[in-house]
Amino acid sequence: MAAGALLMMPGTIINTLAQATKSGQKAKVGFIGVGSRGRQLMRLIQAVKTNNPFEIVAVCDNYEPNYQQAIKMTDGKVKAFYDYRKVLELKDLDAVIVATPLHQHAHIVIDALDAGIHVLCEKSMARTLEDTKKMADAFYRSGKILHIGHQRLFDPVYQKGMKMVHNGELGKITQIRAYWHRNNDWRRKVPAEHPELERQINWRLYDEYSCGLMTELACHQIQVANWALQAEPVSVRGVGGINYWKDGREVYDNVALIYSYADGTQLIYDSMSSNRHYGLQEQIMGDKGTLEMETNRFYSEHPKNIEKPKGILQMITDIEKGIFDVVPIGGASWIPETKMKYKGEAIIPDNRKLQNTQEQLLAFAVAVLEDKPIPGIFEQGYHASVWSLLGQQAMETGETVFLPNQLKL
Amino acid sequence: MKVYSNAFFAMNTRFVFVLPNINESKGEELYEQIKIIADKWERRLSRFDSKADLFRLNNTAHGYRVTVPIYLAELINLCEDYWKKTEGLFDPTYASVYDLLKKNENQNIELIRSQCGWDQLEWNKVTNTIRFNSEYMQLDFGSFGKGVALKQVVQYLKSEGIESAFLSFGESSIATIGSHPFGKGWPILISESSLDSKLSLCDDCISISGMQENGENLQAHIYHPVKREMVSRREIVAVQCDCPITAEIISTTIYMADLAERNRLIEKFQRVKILLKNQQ
Repeated sequence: MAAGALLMMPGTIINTLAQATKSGQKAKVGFIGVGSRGRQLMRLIQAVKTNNPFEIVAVCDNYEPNYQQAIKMTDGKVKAFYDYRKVLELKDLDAVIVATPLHQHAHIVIDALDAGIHVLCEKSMARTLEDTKKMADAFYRSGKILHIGHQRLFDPVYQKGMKMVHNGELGKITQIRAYWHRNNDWRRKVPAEHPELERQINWRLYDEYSCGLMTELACHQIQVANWALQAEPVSVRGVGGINYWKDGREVYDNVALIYSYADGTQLIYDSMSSNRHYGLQEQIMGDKGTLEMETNRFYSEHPKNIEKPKGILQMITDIEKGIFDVVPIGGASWIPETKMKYKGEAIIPDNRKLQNTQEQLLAFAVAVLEDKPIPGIFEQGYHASVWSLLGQQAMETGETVFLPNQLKL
Repeated sequence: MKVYSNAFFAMNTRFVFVLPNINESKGEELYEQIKIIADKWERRLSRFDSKADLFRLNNTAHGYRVTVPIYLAELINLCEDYWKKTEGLFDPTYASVYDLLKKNENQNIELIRSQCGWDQLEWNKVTNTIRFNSEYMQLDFGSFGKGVALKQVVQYLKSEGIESAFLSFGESSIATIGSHPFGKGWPILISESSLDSKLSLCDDCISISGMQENGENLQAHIYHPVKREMVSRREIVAVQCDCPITAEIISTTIYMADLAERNRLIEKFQRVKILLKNQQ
């Protein structure tokens, strides 16, 4: 099922939150993996001052500095572990939030689900296709909640944008272009006295643990494309390599792929880590308009309702009322021959940018308190994860890759 | 009375039109065609769109004789005609110089300047072929392109039986068909100034050029080809006549002209009405 049909809008989440926490009930959650991302998720939860649906009951990390920081963040008031299995043994634990390095997602998530514990797992699901499928199998057999960390699903701009797409306001979608350009090396400092921690700390750079750009960045945008098209790709081809960060890393620092969908639409994707001029964007293009949701913009191919000058608005009103009067051309702010270009329209005007990751966390809490997953959320995460890995495979083999039967849900 | 009005962006500005006594359905039909006309001219006359005929001409006519399509030939003939009538003040060949000045890049500007000018091209109106004798030559029809689009829009609307219309390109190029439905002509007032800025249009048009004080620093955007400098006089020139292309060309030219040049031009173009408003 395509996500979005039943997705809750943030307003609904807040209302549902109030309802869900009316009885004072909270989702007891343990954090497994409290590195930079895990701690950011903790901060977002702790920032909810009213009707906070979470109670953090445990933190866990096998890297000492992370472990200590998590204890500090929780004022030493929650249980702290090095071994995730101890977290899963806790009584009255409702859910875990998994933010470990990618290659550790699978066994932790599967163990949690099999133990009857709901899970929010950071994207991408797993390092290998096999593990990704095993996680899916565990999800379906456990009957518990497994949400994957694609926060755009909870962003009001994306939710409205997707409604516009699915309502036909963009016409027929014929191409999606997405890119994510950064300019950093992803390297984290390794303590000089512990060089053996290089692969643990810089896991993102090594093939054994990560697919780099594909599993860290591309999977988000593949998810957005799938959401827009309400479909998953049928094939992918691409190229990638290391042309800048030649520092011993194994993951590519630039990738370029084409994902093809059954209706002939292409997702043209690229990502790089040596220039950030263009930043990131998903451009959803139809014959009636273009959406760029990262910047909250919609561009109609035939813009209408363009604001008219005051003098002409007055003229129109005069004619409607049967009045004959002079039309003021210009006025105090008039500059003749000023350049004007159509700059598109805001998808949500005056959008106070919500913290979409926080929205995602709150939605997860509500799902946990109601003991049912939000329909479609898991599938969005699954398809995005699978196709990011298939993209990596396409680049490595130089071949067009199709979805293997065993990965079909 | 019902009114149909719509607006869209074209040629770097906002095109607005008002059609009295036209219903929504007919109005939408006319709007689609008006937009097609404006888009067509924007595509044809763009200096920056690689698919535009003018862009291609600007990139192929250096040292080679190039045959141009008939509509472009007509515009080139028009340019040559006005270049002569305005004693060289109207000269659409200085785009390269203008681009450098806009970017504050003065390197090689004298060399480039010396190789621009209508007398540096060879135009054969019999064979419709043109050659630029300089690699720096670029034709720029931006000063009257809106007039070209407006003229065709007026022709189209008249062919559709429209008897009353007000058409405005960025409030600086305005064309009218007939009169306001409740009075004679289309009365307009330019800005909030005093005398001589109230006009009545009827089956004719007005073009307004220049710079007006509005509390901001305005960038000069008209290049004087004879004096070889950007003109930044705080002044408005409005020209009223029956052809929007003529109106645009003359308003730009009058604006850039000094007093003596202006007097000669006003004498020459007696059939047009020229209004000046000096802000200094």
